[in-house]
Amino acid sequence: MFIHEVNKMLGKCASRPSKKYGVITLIPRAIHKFFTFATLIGSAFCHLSLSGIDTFSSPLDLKQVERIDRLIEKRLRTLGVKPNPIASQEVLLRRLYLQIIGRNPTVREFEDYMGLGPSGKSAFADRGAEEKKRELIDRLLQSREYGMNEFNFWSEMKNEPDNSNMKLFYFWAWLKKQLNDDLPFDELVFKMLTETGNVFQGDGVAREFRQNGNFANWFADTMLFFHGAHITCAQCHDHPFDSYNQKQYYEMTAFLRNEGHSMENLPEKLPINKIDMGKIRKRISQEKNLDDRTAALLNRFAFWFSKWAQAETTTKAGVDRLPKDFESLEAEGEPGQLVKAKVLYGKQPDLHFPAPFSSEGKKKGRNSQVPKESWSKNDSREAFAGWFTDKNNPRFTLVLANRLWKKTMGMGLFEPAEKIREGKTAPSDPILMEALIEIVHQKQFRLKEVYRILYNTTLFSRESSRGSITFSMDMGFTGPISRRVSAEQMWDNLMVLRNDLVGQFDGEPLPDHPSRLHPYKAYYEKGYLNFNEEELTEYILNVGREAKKAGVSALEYENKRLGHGGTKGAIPSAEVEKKVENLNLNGIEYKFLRASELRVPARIDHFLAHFGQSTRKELFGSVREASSTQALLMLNWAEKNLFVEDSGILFTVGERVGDDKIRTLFKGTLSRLPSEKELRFMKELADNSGKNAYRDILWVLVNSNEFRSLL
Amino acid sequence: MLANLDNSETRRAFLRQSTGLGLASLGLSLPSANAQGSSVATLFLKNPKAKKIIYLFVDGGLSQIDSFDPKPQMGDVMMNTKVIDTKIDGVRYAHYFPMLAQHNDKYCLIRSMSTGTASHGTGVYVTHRNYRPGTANHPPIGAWISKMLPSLNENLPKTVAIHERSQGIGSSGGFFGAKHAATTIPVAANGLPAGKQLAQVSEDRASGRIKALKMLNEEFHHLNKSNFVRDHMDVLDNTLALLRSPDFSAFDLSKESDQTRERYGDSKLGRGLLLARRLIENDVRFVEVTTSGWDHHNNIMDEMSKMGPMLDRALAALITDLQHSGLLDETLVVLTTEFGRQNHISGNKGRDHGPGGYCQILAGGGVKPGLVYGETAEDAQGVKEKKEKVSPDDFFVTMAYAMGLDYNKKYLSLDKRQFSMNNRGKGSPLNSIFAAS
Repeated sequence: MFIHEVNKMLGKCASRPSKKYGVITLIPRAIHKFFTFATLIGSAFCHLSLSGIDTFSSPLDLKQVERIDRLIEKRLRTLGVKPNPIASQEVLLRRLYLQIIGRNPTVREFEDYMGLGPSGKSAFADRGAEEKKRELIDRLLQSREYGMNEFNFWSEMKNEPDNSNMKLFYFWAWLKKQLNDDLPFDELVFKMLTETGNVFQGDGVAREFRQNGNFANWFADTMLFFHGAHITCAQCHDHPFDSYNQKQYYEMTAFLRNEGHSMENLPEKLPINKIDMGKIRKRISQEKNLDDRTAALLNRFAFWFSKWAQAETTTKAGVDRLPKDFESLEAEGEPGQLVKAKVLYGKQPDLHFPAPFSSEGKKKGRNSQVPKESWSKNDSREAFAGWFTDKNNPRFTLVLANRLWKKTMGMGLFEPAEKIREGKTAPSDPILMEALIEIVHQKQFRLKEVYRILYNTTLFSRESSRGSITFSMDMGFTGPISRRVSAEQMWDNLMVLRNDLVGQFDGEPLPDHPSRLHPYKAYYEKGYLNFNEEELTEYILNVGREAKKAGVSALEYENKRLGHGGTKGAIPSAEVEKKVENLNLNGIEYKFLRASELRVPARIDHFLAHFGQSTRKELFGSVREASSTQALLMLNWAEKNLFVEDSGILFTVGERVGDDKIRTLFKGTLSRLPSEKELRFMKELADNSGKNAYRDILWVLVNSNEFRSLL
Repeated sequence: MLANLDNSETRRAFLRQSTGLGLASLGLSLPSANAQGSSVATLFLKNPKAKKIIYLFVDGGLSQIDSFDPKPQMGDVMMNTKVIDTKIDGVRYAHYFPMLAQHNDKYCLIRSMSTGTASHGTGVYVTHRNYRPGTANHPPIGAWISKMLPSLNENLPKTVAIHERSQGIGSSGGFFGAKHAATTIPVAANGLPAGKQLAQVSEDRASGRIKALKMLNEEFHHLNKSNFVRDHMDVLDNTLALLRSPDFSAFDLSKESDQTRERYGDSKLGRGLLLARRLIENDVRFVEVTTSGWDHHNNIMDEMSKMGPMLDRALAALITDLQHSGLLDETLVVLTTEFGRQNHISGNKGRDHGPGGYCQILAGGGVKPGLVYGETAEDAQGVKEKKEKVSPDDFFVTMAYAMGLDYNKKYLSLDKRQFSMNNRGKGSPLNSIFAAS
């Protein structure tokens, strides 16, 4: 029966998917009209990203909102500083969109909120400014785009040592979902530290985040990202700045020491891992009518499933060895000696070591096994994760609360927010810091609830602080701090202009984009991981034979059959074809999707990379500086590739008359109306440019500094 | 924010830093806080000549015995590779490189490189960044040069990477940020991709746009005097100057005669090196050119007979041109690769990775011409004399040495750790290959 199935599948391969791409860019007016119509009758495209979404179950916690504002005002009074005036509605609108969902409002969304639409009707009609703002915040926080934007921020946690993106895809997808579902943040981190399983399950993301082959790097990143603890120096010597010594480093790593790493210890060992691949390899070499490269297909099963696809087993050791070149000046210990797991700060987690504990094993190398007799009886990894994410841990909530504040207001209550230095790091406003920690606890680590409070503060709705602002202990927050938008926000703002179909833009992610789905996922789903030796042999030989007949390599044949283009190209399904247009920029396949839906991190010569997206090669790697490559991209490339005649915002402009055309462009780019002077200048430009008038104005607007600023 | 200032570069930004923030944020004069206290003295060349570098990276692992260090005594292992004499007595090359053989009185050949890694990823990383992949985004050589040296031509980028294959291992700015990243040219014949389309807008339209843009930016700056706004205005001015500058044609290969292009060869690499020459002539500091496809696990003879002469022709043309124009004095031309190959035949008539001992070329920039430094072992496996072994650290600081850079000077990474070009002081420059004066 099994063979029959395989043959059936192989048979399917005959119909080749078409390679034609693209629809969205060159949408003629008629189709646009259709979309407009479709929206009106409420089918095909869902209207805006903001409709039909859940609302919060509880009312806004005004008490906490007011508490923050009171503390801020008190502090400013003490400092003798005046807060900034309240920002205009349109400034606040754009700020909320950018901060919560990572993009500018569309023309329609702008008009809707401001009551400026052609119909004059607004979803927010009849409401006071404050009530409108509150409702908008709730809607934005509950929109699916919230997850895209938060993802851009939190995915910086991953330090990706190589460029292999395949398995990360599952981790990214999982992370976006958790952020949108508002899984409590402590739980999220606990899961990332402890879950086991297969990466293709979708929840077995743990492994990806856990090590990716390099424990020391992973451990350093984890401690730094979530605790602001920079302990990696102590791996080789006592910490030069902080008071950690080298022994303490190994006491920390002892929680996670991976005695269970070898395949033998995997509790969920898959049947496929038990197969003797050498035997099959031999079989392949004996067979005559196979494609030459059939062995490469076997390697997929032999290599990937045994080594990579499995999450690690939970560790139970709780014991580590000091390294051979142990050289601490501050702590006693001998190279090779066993040390029990112990944390550097906070409450010691309970581990149950056998008594008496022997530190025997001196002079041994670090890689030699820790004898089982010395292991803790309970699971040390879980103990570690529990301590790491505990609400009373002195670092976890502190670092989180400060990061949320910084993300919202532009600067942390302590800086650098990324790294806490013992005895040196102190918040500029300790009472406010404490209040924030309390709020995070009270909201049980639900980020949306915390953001909801922060975005509703009076402080957030003030005009931004501008100029040379640096952190100091005697600073006060007079308003959020103006800054350049992130690389992702810059890109997404251009996507709004390009892809906006008369106000309906939510940057819908692609369903199962095949270039990012790996054949292994298909194997997993089809149950191939449960193959026994005979079945796997038969399967591989079959593909090899068919490939030979078809005159292609076994891998190529297999990829096509599974609907994958391998790791490089991709054969999109009909559905995907409708939504994707390929642009051959620099010889690399690029797409006009939201930044979070593209390859993460983007390729090095992508717009996003040039604008400072984190390379994920180090933590906190995103930058917002100007560069001439950015300027070149905006001056030339962006115009050529993003402004398609009669599409996106240029289509909307086409629907308007007179000065309204120019106003529409201002609404879509800067979320405001032009001043008299600006209108005059733009009209002059339009007169000189003739038929290119609106293209030229759009060029000016997207190149402006205001377009790349968060006000 | 403090961290970001460290990377700013425009003049105004620079002034702000020097007056406002003190030296620490600029990475200058940091006290040695390293627990190991290893402070190594930097050697300085009395009269460093190199102002620019062309870094030719042979991606995949160039076989030393099929290029610049053949071992005819090994018999069958050499397969079809024959040996030819070179301009220097007693030095012999594989027959795929007749032109470089005729010109080896113009450059220095190193036969004792050793990376100690047989992994492409690590090898490419180490040869570009002198660190192993880890928790910091170490800057590649081009970014160090961009960070440490001022521009020689404000109209052009300081560093350019042509035909890069490694996802930014050579072209990224590392922890110095996007500002110090190289401008990447995916296809040399197409020039600078983002710069091309300006010409399509008429002069009138272009000036109308810029007039309106300047008005808008001025209005906005009036409203928002943040540093970043000023920086963006400066960068825009500089970029517009670049687009209008005659130097912009440096990116245009069509300005070269057919004859010249013919000399470099009708190959991707030939065009890449020709573009590199044009950029160096226009005072770009650092140009990397990658040639890929050298990982010859299979059919190495077929591959070498196709690819060897291509490399031979292009590099010989480059060195000759630079010598004729006199630019070779101030330009260090480097050929390197992540490792060599094994001394036996494996796979389907190929050779596997051999990191033990292999070759690279250094030309110009004050390096003694006609010199052969070091030797691989008789069996082409490893380096003959240990003391002549050249590690990636040595190689890295040798480039810095040629340019007169303080390779031990420490800079802060984004998470405030200290790094210098010289990884933990391990490298020392090959000062003996430099001409005395």
